[in-house]
Amino acid sequence: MATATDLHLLRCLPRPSPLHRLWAGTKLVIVAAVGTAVVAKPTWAAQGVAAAFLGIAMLAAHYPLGALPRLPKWFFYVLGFGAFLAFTAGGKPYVHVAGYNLGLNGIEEWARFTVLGVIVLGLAIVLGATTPVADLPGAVDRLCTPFRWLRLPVDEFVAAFTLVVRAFPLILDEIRTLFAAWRLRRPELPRDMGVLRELHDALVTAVAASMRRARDLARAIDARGGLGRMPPPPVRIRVADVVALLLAGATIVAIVRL
Amino acid sequence: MIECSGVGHVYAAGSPWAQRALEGVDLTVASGERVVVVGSNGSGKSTLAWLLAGLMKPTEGYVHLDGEPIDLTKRETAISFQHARLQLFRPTVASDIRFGMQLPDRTVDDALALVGLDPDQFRDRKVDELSGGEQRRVALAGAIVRRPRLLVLDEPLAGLDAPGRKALIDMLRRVHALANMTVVSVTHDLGYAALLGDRAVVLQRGRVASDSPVADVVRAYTPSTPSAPSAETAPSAETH
Repeated sequence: MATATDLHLLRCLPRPSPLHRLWAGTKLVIVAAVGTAVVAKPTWAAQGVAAAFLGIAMLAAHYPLGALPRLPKWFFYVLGFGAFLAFTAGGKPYVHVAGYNLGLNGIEEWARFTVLGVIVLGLAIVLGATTPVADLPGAVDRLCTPFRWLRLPVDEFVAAFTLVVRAFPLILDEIRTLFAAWRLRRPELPRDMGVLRELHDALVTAVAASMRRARDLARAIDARGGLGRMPPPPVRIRVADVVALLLAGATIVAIVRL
Repeated sequence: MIECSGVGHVYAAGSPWAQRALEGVDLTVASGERVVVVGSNGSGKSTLAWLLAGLMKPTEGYVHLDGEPIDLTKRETAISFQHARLQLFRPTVASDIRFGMQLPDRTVDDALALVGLDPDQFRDRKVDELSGGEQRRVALAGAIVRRPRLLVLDEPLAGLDAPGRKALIDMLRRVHALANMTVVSVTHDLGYAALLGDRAVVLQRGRVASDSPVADVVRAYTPSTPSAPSAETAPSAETH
């Protein structure tokens, strides 16, 4: 059975690759820009270009198949149910099968947006797999510099982002424990609407436990004199960063024009 | 009887992050026995606790309870985690102990009394108003009320002060004597191992380094300890 840890979120691949050597900020900008472009224009052609870009990125990252997220079975059941509902929507184009007129517009839209989701998530996964978590806050700090000129609360945002990123493995671990405790105490879920209450109770437990953790963390930060602001590491744009940015730029142009 | 044979476990097997936690663990625990698993951080003791509770299947070997694979639906095993709040799923103490079962008030009160909480005082208390130690007791009451054959305690004394530790150890002895269930405690703190079990299994880097009476292990790892410690005087000697 797939667990939260099988999703391999924000886990950097141990084997170095050209993508590992890029500055984290470069990768953040590229993922944001290409992702936004393909979401803004989700045609099949644009998605083909974005998928090709994702494929190149995966090759450059030496991304092995074993590192792909292992999704639980229920996810595919939900996806399949969504496909069925979309199929019932019908619409142009029509095909004639055994005397029936079947409209394929609904299923085509479903497929297009499912592929879009896979591409956007794929870009984020490659970013997470090639960037040490510790590099992200510094890169976000640098990238947010223009917003600091506008007197936006960038320091607070970066501090919150840093805490979220650092606490992520802890959250995954706690979700795993909570789910395990739930399975032991409630090995069989009710088959009626009572299942909603079970989910509600588990969510309340998760929120209550998170609040306690957050309170403890806040006290620990206060005891150490607050968050302060660590100077971000210097930006080192190399030739590889420029090449990656140019390739991303060409991809975005192709997405917009196709 | 619990039987682990050739048990090995690899997290994220088949991925670049594959990490071996256990290897070739052979372990037999008789019914009603109190065993303490001791090891430093990363020795695999928590993984073993999860496998014993039936929460994971080992990637190698098998874990059997009375000759059969552990089936969670039979409610034969229970586990108490270090972070008790994650085990409490209902807003009040009594409703949480009843979680997933239909239990009469008397059974709930008995379970509370067994873990040293006054039923009249605690029955209707909200779980978020309780201290960490009280939450742990409520979680334990919720576990033992199901009368599991095996109770696994993951770091049962972590985060408790000396009086809290003494109270919990006394309570665990009482629970074991009354319910006669098999209890496996997992701890990194060798100083308290003698108070948690009669037999100690020492894990090192995922392998069983020794399996002997707890007094022998305490002597072997803390040579200066003149005799078995009491709950109040036990030193906090870590295995590494």
